[in-house]
Amino acid sequence: MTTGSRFETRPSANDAPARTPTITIAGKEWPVPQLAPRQNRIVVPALLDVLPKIAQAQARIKGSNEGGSLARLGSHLDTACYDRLTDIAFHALTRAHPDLKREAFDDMPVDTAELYSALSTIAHQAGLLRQTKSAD
Amino acid sequence: MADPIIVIAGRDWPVPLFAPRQNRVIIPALTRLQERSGLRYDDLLDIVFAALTRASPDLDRAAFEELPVATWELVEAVPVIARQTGLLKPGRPSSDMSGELPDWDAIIAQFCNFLPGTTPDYWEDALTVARLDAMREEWRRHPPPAVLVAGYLGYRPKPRRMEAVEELMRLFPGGRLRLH
Repeated sequence: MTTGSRFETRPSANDAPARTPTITIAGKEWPVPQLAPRQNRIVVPALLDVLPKIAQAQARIKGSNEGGSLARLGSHLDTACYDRLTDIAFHALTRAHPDLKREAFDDMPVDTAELYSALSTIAHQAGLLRQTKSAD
Repeated sequence: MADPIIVIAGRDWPVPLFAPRQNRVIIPALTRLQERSGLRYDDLLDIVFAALTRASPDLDRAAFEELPVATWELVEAVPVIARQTGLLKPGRPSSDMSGELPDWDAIIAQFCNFLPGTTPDYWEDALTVARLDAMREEWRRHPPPAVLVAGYLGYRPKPRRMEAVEELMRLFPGGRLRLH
C-alpha cells in the first residue's frame, strides 16, 4: 500500500478551493483550509486558552462602557495572550503556506484587530465547532 | 458483527477490537484524558491515530498529521475507541480504566508459555481483550498441563532477588536484626 499518495492531503495556496475561507493578516488575504493535526496541536490548545480570556476582557470593556472596538480589546490582554494570538494565526497560515517562516511572519505589519478577527474563522477551520449541513 | 466506524477527515474508518499494539497506547492515553480536565489534544491524536492503525496498519503518522481532521471528529471518536479497547464492558473490574493498567508483556508471555508454537509478535497483533477473557475462562475451567503439574509437584517460583530483599526489609523495618 502506498500511504503517501493515499493519505496526502496537504493543500497549497494555489489549489485552495474557492470556498476556502480567508483571514486578513498584514492587510493581505490568506486562505485557511481545514487545519490538520500538525497545526491543530498548537492552534486548539491556544484557542482554548485565549478565548476565555478574550471573553473576560470583552465583558470588562462592556462593563466599563469603554466601547467595544477590537483595538481597545488589546489593552486588556497581556503579552502571553498576544503571543498565543500570533501562534494561532501563524500556524493557521502554515496550512496553506507551509513554507512561511515564523521570522518573516513576526516582521509583518500585523494589526492586533486582524488577529482577533481571524479567531472565529480559525476556530471553525480547526473543527472546534461542528458545521451543520445547512452551514455548508 | 461489523466493526464500528469513526469519521476522521470526513472519511469513514472501521475500528476493529484492538490488539496490544494499539491498547498499549490507547489505554494509558484514555486514562490521562479521564484523570485530567480540559481538552488534551496530543492525547486525542495519539488515541485516534493508534485506533486507525488497527485496520490501516500502513497509515503513517506524518500522513495522518496532514489530514484535515476536525477537532470534533477526534472528540466524537473517543467513546467508540474506548469501547473497542475491550476494557469498557459492563461488569469488568477495569471498566472505568482507573485501576492498574494491563501489563501486556506479562499477558503475552503467559499466552506464549501456555500455547507453545505461538510468538510474542503474533499475540501483539492478535490478542484482543475478548480473546484474553475467553482464554482465561477456559484456563480456569481446564488449566493448562503445566499449571496442573506445577500444582501436583507443589512447585513455587523462586523469589526474585529484589523480592527477597523486600521481604527482609518487611521483617526488619529498622534495618536492624534484634537477637533476644
